[in-house]
Amino acid sequence: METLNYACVITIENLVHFRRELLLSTMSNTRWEDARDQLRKIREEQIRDGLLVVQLWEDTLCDHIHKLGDEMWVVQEQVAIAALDCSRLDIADECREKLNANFPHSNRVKRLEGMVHEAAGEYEEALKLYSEILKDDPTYTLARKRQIAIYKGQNNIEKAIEMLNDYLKTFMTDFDAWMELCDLYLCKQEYSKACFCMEELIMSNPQNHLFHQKYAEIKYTQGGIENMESARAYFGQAAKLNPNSMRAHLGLLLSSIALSKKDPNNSKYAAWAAQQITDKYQTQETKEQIKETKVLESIQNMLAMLTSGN
Amino acid sequence: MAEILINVQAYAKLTLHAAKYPHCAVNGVLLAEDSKSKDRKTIRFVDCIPLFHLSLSLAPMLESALLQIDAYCKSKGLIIGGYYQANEHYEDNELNNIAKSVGKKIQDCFPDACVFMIENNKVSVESQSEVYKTYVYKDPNWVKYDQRTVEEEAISITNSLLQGGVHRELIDFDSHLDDVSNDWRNLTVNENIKRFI
Repeated sequence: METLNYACVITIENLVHFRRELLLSTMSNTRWEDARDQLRKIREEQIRDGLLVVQLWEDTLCDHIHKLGDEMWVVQEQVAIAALDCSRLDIADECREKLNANFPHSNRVKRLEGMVHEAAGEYEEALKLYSEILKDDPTYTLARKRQIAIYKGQNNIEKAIEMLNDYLKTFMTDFDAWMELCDLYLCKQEYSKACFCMEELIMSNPQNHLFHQKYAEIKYTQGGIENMESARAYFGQAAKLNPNSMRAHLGLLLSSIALSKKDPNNSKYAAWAAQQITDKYQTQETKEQIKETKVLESIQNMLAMLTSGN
Repeated sequence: MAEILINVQAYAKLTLHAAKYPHCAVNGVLLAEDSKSKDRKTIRFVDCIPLFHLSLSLAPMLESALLQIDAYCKSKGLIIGGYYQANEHYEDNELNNIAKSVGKKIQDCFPDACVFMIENNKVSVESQSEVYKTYVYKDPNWVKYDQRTVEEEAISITNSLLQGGVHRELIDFDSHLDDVSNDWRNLTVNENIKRFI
């Protein structure tokens, strides 16, 4: 199981403590098979909800772990990582020890041990473990990513960017890494470099509407006529690939309005986008919501910017 | 300098937003009563609309959110008067460029606008003080406003809401854009808050 979140442990240090007994009372009535299925769904969809996973484990699944067969090991790993997200180092250690007992020389378990150190703020110990893993297996990308995550965890974004660029020279088809690099550049407001990352992603995955949409958003943020025209084109493509995307249609509307002074044809694109957005709101929101949130009025206000010359 | 007051509903929702996404940067706006008098002595923030937890630095969705919320405000006699942000890194409480530029955008329409930078280590079920530092605009910088902005009651009610897991029900603009039937007014959460008052 690959954890895509590099920053898995950075902000979790006891951010919020919860009294277990007050949470979601339905947990105690969950059957172990349902808990197992929920954990599967969370793994498949790569949802990050540490609290839910830990609850499912503590309240239901931990007493039935022997019924899972080989799946037990993946679940232990998943629970350990989720426990790190909730500052439950006790659970994380418990799972890690069981995994270690069964897979004593495993780099995958060693990486988990590194993550437990990271959660405790013991970055030097973690880095040592990851170096050992990479000495043994230089292609173990998860350990390399954890090294980068440590720098991100220390808020050393420049170093994280440097190492991630290095990583991508070797592993240039790692799309999650390109996405992470894009987000790191956005943190630093280095929009051109963020665009470059999105361009790599679009070239490798031209059918993914999310890549077109994010690229368009960065272009829009950069501003200027040329960037706005790119933004409009990519929002249009995103809307074509996913007609249900509200973000793509809103982006198309706003970028067309921004360009309408230069080229009046844009008012047609804006009007089309506004109609798509209105239709979506009317079919998906309740009448009360539409009326009270004044969403249709706000769309009319946006279109009024066309005639007023912005 | 005008006095700044934040009611329970606004305070609770911004804290709940930060608690819901501990691994992300979050931001949102605060709505103030729109008094027509130019010489206001007190700014009362009465509601909070959580905005984003993904890509805070990108403009288009922020602009569309502000336009929608603006239309809503006009119908309720409110105005967008404040902006809050919690940075991604646990120890990073800096009033960064994103906060400054969004804050300035709001301040252009509402001269007494405030920016609230959440201090991540204060977001807790056992919070004893307000979870943010308040900043007001004194050309050309944002300066700290040191006075207290909330009642004790607001903090203790928010602690109870966090314990009860109410933050899991909170809807922000990102969730709304994923599915527009998600209501960013958070009426259910508002009801939950009212029960404690």
